[in-house]
Amino acid sequence: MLIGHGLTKRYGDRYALRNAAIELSSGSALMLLGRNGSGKTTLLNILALAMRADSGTVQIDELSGRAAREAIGFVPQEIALFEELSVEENLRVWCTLPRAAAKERLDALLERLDLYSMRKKLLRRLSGGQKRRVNLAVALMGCPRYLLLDEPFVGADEDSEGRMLELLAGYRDSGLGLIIVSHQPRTLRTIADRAMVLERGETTFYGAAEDYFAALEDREL
Amino acid sequence: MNAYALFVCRLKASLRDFASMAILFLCVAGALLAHWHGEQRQQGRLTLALVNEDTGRMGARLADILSEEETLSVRVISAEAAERLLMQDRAQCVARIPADFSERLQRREFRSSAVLTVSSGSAYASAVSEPLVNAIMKLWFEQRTIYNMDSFLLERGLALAPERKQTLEADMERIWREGPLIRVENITLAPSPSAAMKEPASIALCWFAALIPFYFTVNSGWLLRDSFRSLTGRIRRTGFSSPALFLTQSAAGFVLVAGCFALVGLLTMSAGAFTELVPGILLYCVGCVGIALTLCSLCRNFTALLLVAPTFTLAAAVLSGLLMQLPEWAGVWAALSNILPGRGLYEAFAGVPGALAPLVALAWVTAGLLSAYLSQRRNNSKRELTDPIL
Amino acid sequence: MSLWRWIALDLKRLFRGRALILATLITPLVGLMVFASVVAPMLLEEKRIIIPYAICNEDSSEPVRQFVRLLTNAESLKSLTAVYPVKDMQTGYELLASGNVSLLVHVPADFYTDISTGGNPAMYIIASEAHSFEQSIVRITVDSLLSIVGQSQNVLQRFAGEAIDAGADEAAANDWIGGQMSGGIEEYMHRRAALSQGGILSAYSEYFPVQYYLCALFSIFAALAMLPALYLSSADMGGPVVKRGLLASRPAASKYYLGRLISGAALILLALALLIPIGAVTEEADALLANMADTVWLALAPALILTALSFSALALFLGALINRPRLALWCGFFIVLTMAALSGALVAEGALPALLAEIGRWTPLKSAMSLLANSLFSLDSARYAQDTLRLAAMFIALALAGYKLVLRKGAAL
Repeated sequence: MLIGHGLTKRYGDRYALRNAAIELSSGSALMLLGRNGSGKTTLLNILALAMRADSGTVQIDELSGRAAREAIGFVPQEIALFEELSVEENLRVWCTLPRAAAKERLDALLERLDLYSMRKKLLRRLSGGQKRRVNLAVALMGCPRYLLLDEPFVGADEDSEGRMLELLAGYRDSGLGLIIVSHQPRTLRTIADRAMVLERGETTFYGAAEDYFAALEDREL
Repeated sequence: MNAYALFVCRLKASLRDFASMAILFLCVAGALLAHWHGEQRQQGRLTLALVNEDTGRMGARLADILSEEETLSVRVISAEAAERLLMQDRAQCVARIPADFSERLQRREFRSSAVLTVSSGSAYASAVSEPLVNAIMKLWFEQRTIYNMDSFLLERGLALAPERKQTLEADMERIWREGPLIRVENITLAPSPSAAMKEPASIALCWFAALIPFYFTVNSGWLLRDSFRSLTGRIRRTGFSSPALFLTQSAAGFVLVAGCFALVGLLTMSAGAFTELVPGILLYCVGCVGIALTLCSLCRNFTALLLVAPTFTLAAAVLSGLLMQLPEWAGVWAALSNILPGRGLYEAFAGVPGALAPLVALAWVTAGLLSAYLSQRRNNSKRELTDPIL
Repeated sequence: MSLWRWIALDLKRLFRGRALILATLITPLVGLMVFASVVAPMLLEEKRIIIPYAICNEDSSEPVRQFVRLLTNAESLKSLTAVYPVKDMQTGYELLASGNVSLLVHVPADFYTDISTGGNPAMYIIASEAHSFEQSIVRITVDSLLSIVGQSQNVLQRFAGEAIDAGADEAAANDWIGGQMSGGIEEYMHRRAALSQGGILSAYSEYFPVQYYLCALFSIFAALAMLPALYLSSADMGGPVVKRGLLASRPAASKYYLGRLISGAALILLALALLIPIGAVTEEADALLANMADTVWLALAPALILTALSFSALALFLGALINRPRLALWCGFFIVLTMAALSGALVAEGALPALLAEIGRWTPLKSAMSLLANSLFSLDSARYAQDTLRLAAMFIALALAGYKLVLRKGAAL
């Protein structure tokens, strides 16, 4: 389980996050929603151990230190990759396995994400959708248990979106826990089983995704 | 993060980067060219347009003497044609020989006997004026000697037969053509007696060391890529420290440059003498890495870097003494140059290794890492400037 | 949007990056400062430079002693050199080490004997690396002096031989040779009078022309100052400005082009405007003031504007041609480097093959160099007109080509 409890973060006088609590088990997907500035990215960064909360705790499967970091795969919103390296090189620099194992892992990942044919291509020559898949692949290189994705569908067309959802569903089914930040809840309907909504750092909804969508439809009606 | 894989991939990326490899190639080529041309200034051949208005023979003889000069290409043409050539930059200078040139020389007068016009866009006018003045003096000396010998013989009731005079004139032409009899050699003193015993660092090594900061600087341009800024956050999350990241990325350029130093050194010096210089060279490269990181952090974008890098390279090359020793009036610059890694290398090349070199290298690396770190933090916190047109 | 608004907007875009603008304006000043304070000072003060040198003559022959006496006492040399005869090399080295002299000239024993018997006579000029420039100047002068002396000796001996064959006394002939040599050397001390100049050394500016290299520096930095406009133009052509259809209509594209041309030229002019006053102090004050009458400014202002516009047009052309900003930047940089090499700014003039030199004449950098040299230092109106026409032609060609490309890129969407 990935558990965040009593998480609070302030920037000066402003609370970016106030007393947030979250639980994620393996093989499940939680969609994290809210307007701009609601605290989604802050929460995600805290859970990914990229940022320290002012108060509260984060527990990752009873792990600590480096093991805890390696259990989390983080996919940032921006394409955070080496533009001047090839696809294969971008993945290789993130892999700390021995050489033979690294090659095996790399090839498997490239195949699964349909990147094998373009592994020697420089990153800057790829399309936006292809770069997003490489961005995802980097997060998966370390065999994480939990995957945190910050707006993975930004700028994606319908096809890319569909492929990405298929991939994520596959990973969820194989036991990975997912937290996906998005502005488009309906996109995640097929994949998310829990939902959390933030507004100005406060949690306004936390529960089953079905309940969220039902409430959403009621509001619309 | 896998530091070794990052180093290898960065090395491959550096080799694939055509533009910076071209810079590296130019540094190596420039250094080797400077070495093989030696210390002689390559002046090339300047075109001299000669306007010969002389009514006697001396003007033509002057043209013949000047044609023997290796640094001159002489064209004897009319005044209008000469002016046109000068205007079109097809001739760098015009020499006008007046109508009474032969007459004046026969009167043993050489003052104001020619007019030389040099284009303001031309360099090294001494390559023209020196041979021209010397040629006039040779002809003057001839006429003076002929006159004085006639006087000498006349005083003794003697005279030279006309055919003997003709032979003499032909002999004089041959003597002038044979070139200088006396050698003048420059001897440059070594900075210290012990240095005098060792093989000095080759000109190629000095030139390469002077030019290479430019390559280091542009090769560190990865620091300025937009993608790198968002990447550092991701990397930090893995626990890989920023200094380790910057150093690993810079190591690729370091290795390439060290390799090129070895290539240039071994091509132009003996292996033993080059080996003695290796510690100094490595320290210099370390210092250059630090300087490159500092400059990249200050520049914030690649365009500014491309403007700053050549100027910095020029200034560092001049001030460090690698290309020319600082003259005595530049005392302040000499004192300031101690903060440059090039100064330490210059002293190592001169056989007087300074104690400051390791400290300077360390200081620059520290400064580079610190400024890169601060630059990343600033970039992560600043908001994007809005383009007014969009 | 009106044209003026486009221009104002473009100036705002180009000048908003403070680091970039600072880099564009400060780097030329740094380059000029290094040049002016390290290399040029010696040459700026040519009339007041004294090269102190020691001379050690180990040859006891009368002609050489006379030659050395002449070198030591020549009036024409006193304003340029201070000569210290020393009795032995040890004393000479001590003077060198203490810094009292810049050079030590060594005439070895049997120097004259070697000349007379057709041996291999050599003279030595000893100095430390710090005085290598003075060493070169003295060497060039002594070289040419001695080449004439050595050959003149041969000429005189040939004549003396003829005189003896004609019946003259050998001793008298040898005396005659000595007298001729002394008289010749004495006149040779004023050899520069052949070109209506003074003394024995040619002007320092002939060995290292400050003005030539200043104009090369100005032109290279003006060319480099086009890089920001080049980068922005390339980013626009390959990015949102075109993709949003902002240049889809001809009037809009034309205003964009003019706005960028003017803002790019403004940045280059600013860089030049900072350089020129500093560079102009290389002229002596009185000559500068004499030149500061109408003609210099009338010549200089159009030269600067035309130079700035030409490089701005080049930047726009390259930016419109290459839509990847970083690649465009590198191409621009290498083009500047190539122009500098072909124009004689980096490679010694005359050392280039004829074809490359001809290509160099048709680059904006070469014309800018020549135009600035003429305007700033010595106005040759025919040459000025020629360079102006040449640069104007290049500007028109680049501007038209760049404009066409911008129209095409804008309409392509």
